[in-house]
Amino acid sequence: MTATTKTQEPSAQRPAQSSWLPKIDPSVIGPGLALILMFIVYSIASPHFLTTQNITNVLVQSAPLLILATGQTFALLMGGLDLSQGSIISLVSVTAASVMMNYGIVPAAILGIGSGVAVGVVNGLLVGRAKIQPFIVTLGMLYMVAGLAMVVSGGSTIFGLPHPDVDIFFWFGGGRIGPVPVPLVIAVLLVAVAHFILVRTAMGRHVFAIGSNEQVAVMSGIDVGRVKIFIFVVSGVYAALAGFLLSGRVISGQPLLGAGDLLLQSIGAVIIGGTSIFGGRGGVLRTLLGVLVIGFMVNGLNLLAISTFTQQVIVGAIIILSAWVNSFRRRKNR
Amino acid sequence: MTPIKPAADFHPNGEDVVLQLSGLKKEFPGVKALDGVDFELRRGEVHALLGANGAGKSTLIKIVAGLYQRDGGTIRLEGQEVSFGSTAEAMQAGIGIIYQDFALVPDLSVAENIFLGQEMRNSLGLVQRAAQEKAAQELLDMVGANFAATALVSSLGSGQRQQVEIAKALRNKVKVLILDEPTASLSHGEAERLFEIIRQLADEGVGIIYVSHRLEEIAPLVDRVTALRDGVSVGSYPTAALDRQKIVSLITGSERPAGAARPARAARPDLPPLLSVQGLSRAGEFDDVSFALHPGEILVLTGLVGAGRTELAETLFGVRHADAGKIRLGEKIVHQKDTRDAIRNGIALIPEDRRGQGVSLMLPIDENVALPILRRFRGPFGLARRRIGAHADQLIDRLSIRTPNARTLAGALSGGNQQKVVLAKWLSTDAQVFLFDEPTQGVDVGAKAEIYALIEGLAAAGRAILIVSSDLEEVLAVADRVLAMRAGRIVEEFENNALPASRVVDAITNG
Repeated sequence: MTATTKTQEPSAQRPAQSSWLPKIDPSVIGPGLALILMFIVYSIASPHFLTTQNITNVLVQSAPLLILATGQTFALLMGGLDLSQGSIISLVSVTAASVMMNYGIVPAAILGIGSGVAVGVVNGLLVGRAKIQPFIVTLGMLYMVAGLAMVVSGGSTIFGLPHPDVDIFFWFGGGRIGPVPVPLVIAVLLVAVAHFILVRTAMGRHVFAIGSNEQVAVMSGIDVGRVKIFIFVVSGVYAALAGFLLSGRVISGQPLLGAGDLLLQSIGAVIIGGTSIFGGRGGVLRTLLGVLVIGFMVNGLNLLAISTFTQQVIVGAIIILSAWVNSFRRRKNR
Repeated sequence: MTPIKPAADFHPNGEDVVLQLSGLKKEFPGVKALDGVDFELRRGEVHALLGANGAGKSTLIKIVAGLYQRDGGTIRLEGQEVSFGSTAEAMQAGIGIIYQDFALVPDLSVAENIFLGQEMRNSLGLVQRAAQEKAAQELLDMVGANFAATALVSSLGSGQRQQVEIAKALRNKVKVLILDEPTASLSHGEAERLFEIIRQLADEGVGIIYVSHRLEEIAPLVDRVTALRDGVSVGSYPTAALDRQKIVSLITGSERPAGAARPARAARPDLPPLLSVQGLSRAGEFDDVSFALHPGEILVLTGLVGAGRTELAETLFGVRHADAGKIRLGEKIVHQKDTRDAIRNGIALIPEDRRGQGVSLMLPIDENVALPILRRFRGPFGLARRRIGAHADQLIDRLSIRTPNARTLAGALSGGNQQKVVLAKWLSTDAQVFLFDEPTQGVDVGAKAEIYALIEGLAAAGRAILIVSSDLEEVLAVADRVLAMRAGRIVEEFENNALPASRVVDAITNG
C-alpha cells in the first residue's frame, strides 16, 4: 500500500516526453510489415512491379480512395461511420458535369463540390443535433443521395463536356505538374490538412475525446453536437473532392461513379490502417498506410494475373486479419 | 419473524460450516481490496456482511461467485477446497448470487431468463419450452411469486424481478445464496415478502450471505454479523450480542475521536454564499432541496444509494435540469442549459463514475487534464503541445500523480491517480464551486489521505466544496457541515463539532 507521506517527484525525474528517436506506434507495425512484405514478394514475382511507371500509376489510382478514406477516418475516430460517401461522389459527378454543360468549370466546381458538402452538413445536423445514430443517418443518405444523382442526370452518363472547361476538369483528375501527378498532390495536401486538424487543433482533439469516451467529453463541457457536425462536414468535403477528381479523370458525369465498392474500400482502408472502429484511437497517417496496402495489393495481384474475383477474397481477408491483429494487441495491453 | 431461529434439523455450530474463507486476498491496481479476510458461513444461517463503501464486501462476494479470481487465501465449500474459474463453475458447485442491479433480459420471458445459459434441450438441441416453463413455474411457486413463467420480464416490477432472480438462483441446488443489497429497490411490502423467502430458504438448510447497508433490517432477519473494514474482517458476532451503536462502530471504526483530528477550517459562514439552492426539485429524484454553500466550506451530502444525491449534483452541473426551484451563484439566479454553462459559471463536478464520466482511459494524462480548456493552448501552429505538457507536468507535481510522464494513458494509472487526474482537470478551469461525487470510491488509503488534503487545500483557498459521500468515515473526516438525504429529501443537518456517527446513520436509514 502506498504510504501516506507525499513523495514529491520533480519533473526532471520523469523521462523526457519526446526523445530524438522517433517513437514507432506499435499499431503501425502490422500494416507496415504487410506493405514491405508485399513489395518484396511482388518485386520478385513480377519484373513490372518495381518500376517508376507502375508505382506512380498505383499512387495516382489510389488518390481518390486516399481522400475518401481520410474523411472517413474522422467518422470512425468518433466511433461512427459515413456510409454516404459513395453516393456523394455520384452526386458531385453529375452535378458538376451538368452545370459545366451550360456555365463552365468554375460554377461547376463550386456547385458540384458544394452539393457534396451540403450532404455532409445534413449528415452532421442529423447526427449532432437530432442525435440519430450515424449508421442510420448515413445509410438513409446513401439511398437518398444516390437517388438524387439519378434524378439530376436522368439516369444516364453526361458526356461531351465543353472545351476548354473539360481540359481543366481532366487536369484535376489526371494532369501533371512537371512530373508530379495533380491528384497525388491534392491528396497529399488533404491528408496533411486532416492530420493537422486532428493533431493540432482543439476541434481535432475533441474528436478523439468523443471517440474515446463521449460522457467524459460532455462532462468536460465540450459541445459534442458541434464536433459531430464538424466531423460529417469534413467527411462530406473530402468525399466531394474525391468525387470531383474522379469524375475529372473520366471527363464525364456518371450517376453510378461512387456506387461500386469505393465506399467499402474507404472503410476498409481506415480499418487496415489500424484506426479503431470504436473510436478514439487512430489517425489519417495510419489510413494512408491502409490505402497503400489496398492499392499495392490489388496492383500486384493484377500483375500476377490473379482474377478480380480472387482479389476480393484477399482484400476481405486482410480487413479481418488486421482488425484481429489490432484486437490482439489491445487485449495484451489490458 | 423472531430474531432467533428455532433450530429445525440444523444446528448452527462449528460442524455445519458450509463455506469457509481464510486469508482471502485480492489486489486491484493501486488498491488492496481484500487483505486477508476470514469468513465462515454455516448451514441454515443468515449471515450479514457489513461494511462501508470500499471495505471489500463486493469484492468478497464476487470472488465467491467466481467472477473475480483471488490472489491469495483459500475457499472451502463443505470442507472441500475449491477454486472457481468462472461464474458457471461456482453455480454448478451450488453458489447462487443475486446482484444489486438485476441481471435479467427484459425482452425475454421469466422462464427464459431463469434458464438462460442452461436451457433444457431435447435430443435435437432445441429448447424445450413447455418443460422449461413448467419447471420455472415450480421455482416461482417456491418463492411465492404471483405471476406466470410466461410473462415478459419487462412487464414486472422490481420486487417481482427480484423474485425471478431468486428463482433463477434456485434453479441449481444452492448451498450458498448471496444477496447484495437486496432491498435497495424494493417497497416495504416487497421487502417483507423477501425476508420470508430468505427465512424459509435458511430453514431448508441454505447458507445465506446478506450484504446490506440498512441496519434496521439486520436485527430481525440475521443470525450473525461480520463487518469488513479496509479489506479485513473486524470480527463476527451473533446478532443478539450487538446493538445499533456497536454495529455502527464496527463499520466506521472507533479510532477517531469525534472532531478531534480535524485541522482548523477556513469556512467563512459570515461571507455571502457562493452557491445556494432553493426548493430544487426533479420528479422522482429529489424534492424541495435547499441549502447554501459558503466560501471555504466543506459541505457533505450523505445518504444511501438512490437517495438522489448524484442526481442533485448533476443538476447543479447542468447535466440534468430541475423541474422547480432556483440555483443561485452569488446573488445571481442561473439557468444552466448544459455542462458548458456550468463550467462558465465556475462550477466543477468530479463525478462518481470515474471511468465512465471522469477520465478518458484511452487519452494521455495531459490531454485529459487540458480537455475543458484546450482552446487556451492555441498557438500560431495549432495547439502548442509543449504548453499542454508543461501545464500537465505542473499539476502532476502539485497533486503527486504517480506516472512515468504526462503522455501516459490515463487507463494505465491506479484508481487514486485517475481521480487525481480528474481533479487536475478541474483545477485547470477557474472553478469556484467544486462538486465531488464519492471522491474516494475505489481509492486506496494513501491516495485517500492525499485527496482529502487537496480538498482541504481548496477550501483553505476560499473555494466552496460540496461532497456527495456514503462513506461514514469520510463524512466524519472532512465535513464542516453534513446534510443527510433520504428518498430525495434533506432530512437532517449536522454541524461537525462532535458529530456522532450513529445519528448520521440513523438519519439516512430510518424511514
